[in-house]
Amino acid sequence: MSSASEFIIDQTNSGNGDSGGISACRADFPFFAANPYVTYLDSAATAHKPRIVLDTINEFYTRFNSNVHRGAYPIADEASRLFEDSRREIAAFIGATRDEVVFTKNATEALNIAAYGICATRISPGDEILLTNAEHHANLVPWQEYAARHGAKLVFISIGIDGNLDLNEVRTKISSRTKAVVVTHCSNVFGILNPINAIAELSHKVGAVVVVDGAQSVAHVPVNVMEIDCDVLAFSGHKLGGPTGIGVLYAKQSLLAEWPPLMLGGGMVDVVTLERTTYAPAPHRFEAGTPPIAEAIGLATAVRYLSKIGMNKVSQHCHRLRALAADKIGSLPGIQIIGPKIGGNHGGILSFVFDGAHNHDVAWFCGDRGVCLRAGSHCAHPLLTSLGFDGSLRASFYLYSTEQEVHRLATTLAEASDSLRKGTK
Amino acid sequence: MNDDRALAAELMQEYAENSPFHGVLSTPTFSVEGGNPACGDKISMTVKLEDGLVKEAKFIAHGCLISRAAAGLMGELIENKSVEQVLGLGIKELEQGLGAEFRSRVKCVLLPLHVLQEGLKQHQKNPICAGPFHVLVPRNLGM
Repeated sequence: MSSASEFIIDQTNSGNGDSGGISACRADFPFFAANPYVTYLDSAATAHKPRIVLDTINEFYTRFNSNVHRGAYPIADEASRLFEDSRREIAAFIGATRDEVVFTKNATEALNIAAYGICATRISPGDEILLTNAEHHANLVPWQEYAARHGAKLVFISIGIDGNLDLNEVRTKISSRTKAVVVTHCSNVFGILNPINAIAELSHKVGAVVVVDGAQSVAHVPVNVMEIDCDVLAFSGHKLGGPTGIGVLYAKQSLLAEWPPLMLGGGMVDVVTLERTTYAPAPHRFEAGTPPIAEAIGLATAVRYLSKIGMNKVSQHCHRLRALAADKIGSLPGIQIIGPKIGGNHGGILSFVFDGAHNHDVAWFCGDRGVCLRAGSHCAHPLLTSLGFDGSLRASFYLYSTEQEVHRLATTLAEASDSLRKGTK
Repeated sequence: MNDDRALAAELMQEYAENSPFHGVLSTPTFSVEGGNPACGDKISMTVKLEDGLVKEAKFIAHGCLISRAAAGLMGELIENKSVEQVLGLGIKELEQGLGAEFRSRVKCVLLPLHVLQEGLKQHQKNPICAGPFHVLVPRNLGM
């Protein structure tokens, strides 16, 4: 019978990858052939998928579809093996080991599991959790909820319009009461990479665990959990070319071993009687119900694809396009860039506000002309409010984005400026 | 921009910027407010009812051109209509009035009307309460 070892498509020839330079990889993404007139600059919201990922998912459902860790027949064994191999491969992509990686439905669920677990095991009334004011709602709301349940206080590091996190403020606000330091690696508004290493050093000195939201960073730059020295890292699959419906929670084994599971049910148990249940060890303890099987296999294919190209190259490409865009649109009248116009260590994210027209009207104007931008508060209401904006526009770039698209963005924004700012109050 | 689009844009600008329904009524029957959390658009309204008719409504809107224009148009559409007629208004009447189809902006167009309609329903349930009623706007409004 067919075996997973001959799974799909020759994955050694999985696309243009590195062979033609990073610009050649655009041909690996069927979205662009299907939408030739679209300038997609919203990859920080979700990235397009290389053909190899789509084909792999299709192949899984066609040849190996069965549930994992349940069936006593060969195809189910193959599915289980593919699923667990995917876990190993995704773990290796971030410098972790297989049993430190929990599959979730997205980064939000991963952060919920972490917040629930940490607050249940390490927080007593009067303790503090240190966060930044630039966290995505996914890395703020769960902490608000679980901190309140356990009597902890949230303390915030304030990031201003330059987007830079001040380590002195961390030094001032961290103390023996601090039990967790919760920080985004790369803000989805500023796109700047925060110095996790330095934050981890300060946190570990007081025994606090470091929880990192890697939703943007893992997609845009090389991330190794050992090198950045975080205790927890969460990210989503769909932002790096994998399918939707899968996220990853990395946590050190000692933490996973002590946390109670957030979701309960089948697949995460050890012994079940009518009166009580004991739970399976991590990572399966945190994966109640049928997990995202095809999604995990698809995500493993995406990280293989990215690894072949090289995350350093992806990072350099996005950084270069962000700098070009900042230069081009920063000089247009009425546009203010949020974060530094030049310099800084960036993912491929550029946020800006448009004087004299509402951000949704600008995004709509651009969308009507094929230029896809994000508008709004980017699930970071407190940050935008503290900066004095009710929303912003955001252009974000990925490995398949081109200089031509940056030029089209600048031209379209100039048109929007002419058209929308006429006659405004 | 073609002529139709230019015309629609001009009409929307007019409704958004120069509506006579901007403001606050001095003796409203009730007030209601609501917003679209996804984009931050907000609207608050004061509404005067008389003999089962919506005599008048005034609003203060913060947000994009389309939601503000839809609020201006709504002021016109509802004046002296029965509560039932106002509850029966929908995207069709708004798009007709603004001279354009909105597709991806349906949520923006519907926000003012949705807030008013939900306010009317809350007032019907509790007629002695003058509000302010707070309306939670669903993420899938108009979908």
